[in-house]
Amino acid sequence: MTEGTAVSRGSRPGFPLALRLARRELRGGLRGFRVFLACLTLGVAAIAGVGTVSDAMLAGLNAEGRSLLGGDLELRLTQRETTAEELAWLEARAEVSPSTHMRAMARGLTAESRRGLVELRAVDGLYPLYGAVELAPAMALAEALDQVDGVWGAAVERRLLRRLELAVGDRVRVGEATFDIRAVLMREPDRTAQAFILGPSFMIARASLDSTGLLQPGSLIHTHYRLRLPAQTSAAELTEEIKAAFPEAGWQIRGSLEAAPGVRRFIERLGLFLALVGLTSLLVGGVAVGNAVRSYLEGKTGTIATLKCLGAPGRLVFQVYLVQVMALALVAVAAGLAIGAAAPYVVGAILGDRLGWRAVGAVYPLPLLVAAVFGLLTTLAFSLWPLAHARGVPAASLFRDLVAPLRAPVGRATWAAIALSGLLLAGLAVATAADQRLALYFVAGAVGALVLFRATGLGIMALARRARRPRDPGLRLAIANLHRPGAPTGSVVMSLGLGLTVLVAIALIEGNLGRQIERNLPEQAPGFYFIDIQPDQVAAFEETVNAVPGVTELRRVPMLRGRITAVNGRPSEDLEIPPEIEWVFRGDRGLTWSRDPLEGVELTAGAWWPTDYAGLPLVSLDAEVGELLGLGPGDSLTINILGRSVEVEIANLRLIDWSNLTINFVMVFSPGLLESAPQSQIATVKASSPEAEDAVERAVTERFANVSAIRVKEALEAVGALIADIAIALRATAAVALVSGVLVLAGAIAAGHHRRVYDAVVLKVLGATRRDLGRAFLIEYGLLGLATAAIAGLVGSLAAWLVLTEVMHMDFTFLPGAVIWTALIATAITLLLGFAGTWRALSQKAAPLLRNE
Amino acid sequence: MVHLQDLELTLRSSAGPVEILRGLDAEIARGETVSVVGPSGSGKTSMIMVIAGLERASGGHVEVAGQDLAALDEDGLALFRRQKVGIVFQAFHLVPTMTALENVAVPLELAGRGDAFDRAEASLRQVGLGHRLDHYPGQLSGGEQQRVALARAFAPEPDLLLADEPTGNLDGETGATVIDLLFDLRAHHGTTLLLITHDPELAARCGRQIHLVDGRIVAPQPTVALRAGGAP
Repeated sequence: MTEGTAVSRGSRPGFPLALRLARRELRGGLRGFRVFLACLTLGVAAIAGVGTVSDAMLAGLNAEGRSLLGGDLELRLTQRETTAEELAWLEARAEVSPSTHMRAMARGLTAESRRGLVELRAVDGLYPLYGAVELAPAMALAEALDQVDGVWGAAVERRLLRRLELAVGDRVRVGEATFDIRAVLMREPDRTAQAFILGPSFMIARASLDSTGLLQPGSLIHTHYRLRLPAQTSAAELTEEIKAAFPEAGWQIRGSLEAAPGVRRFIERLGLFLALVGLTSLLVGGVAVGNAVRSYLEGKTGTIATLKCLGAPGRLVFQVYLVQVMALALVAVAAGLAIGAAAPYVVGAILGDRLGWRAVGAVYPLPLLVAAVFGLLTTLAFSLWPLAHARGVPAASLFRDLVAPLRAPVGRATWAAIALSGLLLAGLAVATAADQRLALYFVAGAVGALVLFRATGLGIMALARRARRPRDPGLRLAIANLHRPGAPTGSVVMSLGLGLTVLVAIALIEGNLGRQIERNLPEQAPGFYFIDIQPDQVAAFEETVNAVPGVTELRRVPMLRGRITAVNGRPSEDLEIPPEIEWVFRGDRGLTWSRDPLEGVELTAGAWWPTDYAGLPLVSLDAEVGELLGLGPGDSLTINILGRSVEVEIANLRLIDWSNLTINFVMVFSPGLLESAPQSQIATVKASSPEAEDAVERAVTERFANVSAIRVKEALEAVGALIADIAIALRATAAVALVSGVLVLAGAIAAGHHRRVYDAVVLKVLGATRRDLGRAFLIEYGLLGLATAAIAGLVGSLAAWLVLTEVMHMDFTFLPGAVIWTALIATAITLLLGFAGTWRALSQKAAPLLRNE
Repeated sequence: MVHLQDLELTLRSSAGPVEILRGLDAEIARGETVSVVGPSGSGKTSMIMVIAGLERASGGHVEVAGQDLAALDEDGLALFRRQKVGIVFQAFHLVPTMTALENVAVPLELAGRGDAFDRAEASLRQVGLGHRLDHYPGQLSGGEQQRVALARAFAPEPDLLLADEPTGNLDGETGATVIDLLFDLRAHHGTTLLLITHDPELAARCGRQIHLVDGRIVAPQPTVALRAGGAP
């Protein structure tokens, strides 16, 4: 037999035999694979669910795009309306429905009545072109808005009624006009597609807008022209025609598929984050897979040895068990996919149309397929190692117990297979991510974390092995238990560590976002922004504000809106704009002009213009924008202001700290050009107390009906609420990773239970009390939990730092509270589970076990 | 050293209660060597379990080294074993995840002795295993494992040593070596020995024999004078 010639090639056992043997072995049931199945199912379900839900949301956006946008096409103009020529051109080609949006103050009729910021929507008779407005009590929109007995009607959101303590039937003033509140606005089809919303909607007829007196030159007004196209007209073609006919109009044109680009970006971004967190739980699941396969194979040593003694080659053994593992993985993947496939229906049912549109309940095959491949690849990557050991170990040595566990050299082919499945996993993660740079960071981070946790596990065992023997027997037992052959130290550190890392990272990111808001608020942030102050009201406005006791600061600058349409003559659409400054080019930006250098300004390039400068228009640009686009003094920008394109030269680059929420502008112009343009003023006011703030708001809005007050605190609360919602989604997904980690921990403890019972009984025979044993177990799991938490705290902080500084471009502050809490949770979980697992071992009666042996 | 009076042990099983010990009376003096013989199922191991406090008597009175075992709770019994009793099993019952040295040191550590490892090492050298200190049970032969168990049992210098078929898992020659070692150690420490065996020759090496049949002592032997050397 040594030559191998006595056995013909034809007698080599083939794959069908492996299948048959595997089937027979699986008759033994799924014992020992519960954690394997649970973790893999959870991981696959998380990835599949995130994918299908975000697809369902995007499908909903697309399906309802026309009603979200309010038309097949929308043309948005800032601070001006269409010219007669433009409107005539548009009306010749489509049905046109204009609506005007601006911010305004609504207040009751008496001087003492409450007031509040509203989003004023002045709509025409065609509105809405698509979708429907829902009112309570139910009535036609025209009926709610029309003029009756000389008074215009309004439909408003319920929260405005609460804030102003008004009811349907009451009257309210906006600007110079009085409105009859005829209905509560239950649903506006196009609300989701609006930009940042600060106040409740206040819908009026466009014909009534003039009577408010709010239409002043320079007021911050957006007019949306919604178009319903005839059946034979293509939106894309008409868009090109419009651009060709009116290249200088300065309108933003959107089609129904880009109805809510901000919302779409948000869903894609959040979906990506959630998918990466889901992937982490799958990695934790991978650890469970590895553990389960290893301990299953350790329990199968007798069978494997027998098979080998009967002439089964290593390859067959490998196949038999690989088939079993993959069959189990298929079961788990199928369960995970079922959950993932059901997710859009569940989420759709929970959300309804609360977001302004409905998720489309359907089966989304692509994310399901991706999740299935992730699940199977993870199984393969984590089970190849123990499978290869079982294959390579000679029959005789398989009879050895823990002291000589399955240890055989792992061949090059196995290494290659593990590396390949790992690479495929990484490749799939990057290829399916919307932001590949972020996915690459994730892959690098995940590999780093896996290596680090593996090293930590080995390190703890090595340290425990080398530690000097403490005199305290409990401590000694605990330390010894950490490094015994077969100790679960490695897998517990790995699985729990990964889950905790995600939690620490999310806690730190969330904490930093929250802090960013809170920290800046009390010290530097103003109490109010006042917008739409007319130039002729400036003196009276300042007098009014300064007359209120408690006002500590008043800053005021002129403000216009404009959009960058070209850089050095190249249209902005053709530029490659880094994602962190995309927002600058996305729509209209606020502009101002100044003769003198701004207070506390720090220039990074160029110089400020002389105070008496009267030459061609110059601009001071945000240094970050300038640097990222490679621009400096001498380069030119083309800005569309009020429908006119203006070319300006960059005079200098200027550092801006956006976080202090004071008035900041990407672009500050030299005087001259903008001085004469229609413009309004914007002011920030700081007051020393909430009472003073109320007094300022009341005084200003009482005297100037057209001026709107935006409370910074309320605006920030809106942002804070959004962050809290995101945090819930992130935490829910992270919880899956942690649950997987805890399952692995529980599995490891359960796997060692038999041995622990035996140890406990023998130690009791030798005179150990339950207290001695309990203390030893407590110390063991306490050490394990603390060490894991420490490393998870480190890796999680690193991940949070990377995400905050590299992805979100924010400052990072280490928040020890978040990390310590996570560490405590980790230690508590390990202790609790470890102790629950060993408590039964402690109360085990010695005699029966000793008899049976 | 051991005082048994009308000792009864009834265990519950799925088929109903099983009477294991039915009214044993026995007296074993300090330093005595006593063998317990009898057919399988006669209650030999149960008797030793009760004396070690590993099983609670259903009736009667058990006093070991002046301690009424019925008065002790589970942890009290553990302390009692720690201070008074050493046990050697047929199946060795070493902790598989501890080295020989650690196995022997455990009872000393539990007793809070600072020199646990020095004494454990000395104890292992005494049984001829000075070169196997860091080996795990799985790396030792059956005879070596039983010698580790002997070292572990004698290291804390117990008053009473209970041995349950200590050679049952060993071949004849190895068994004989282990038994010689057991009697040498006993003589050296002056320990009271209660030994269960099926082997008449081994039983005869003890000062007297207790015959158990069906849970009863059938041929009670009078207490004989203490013989310092134990076996002839």
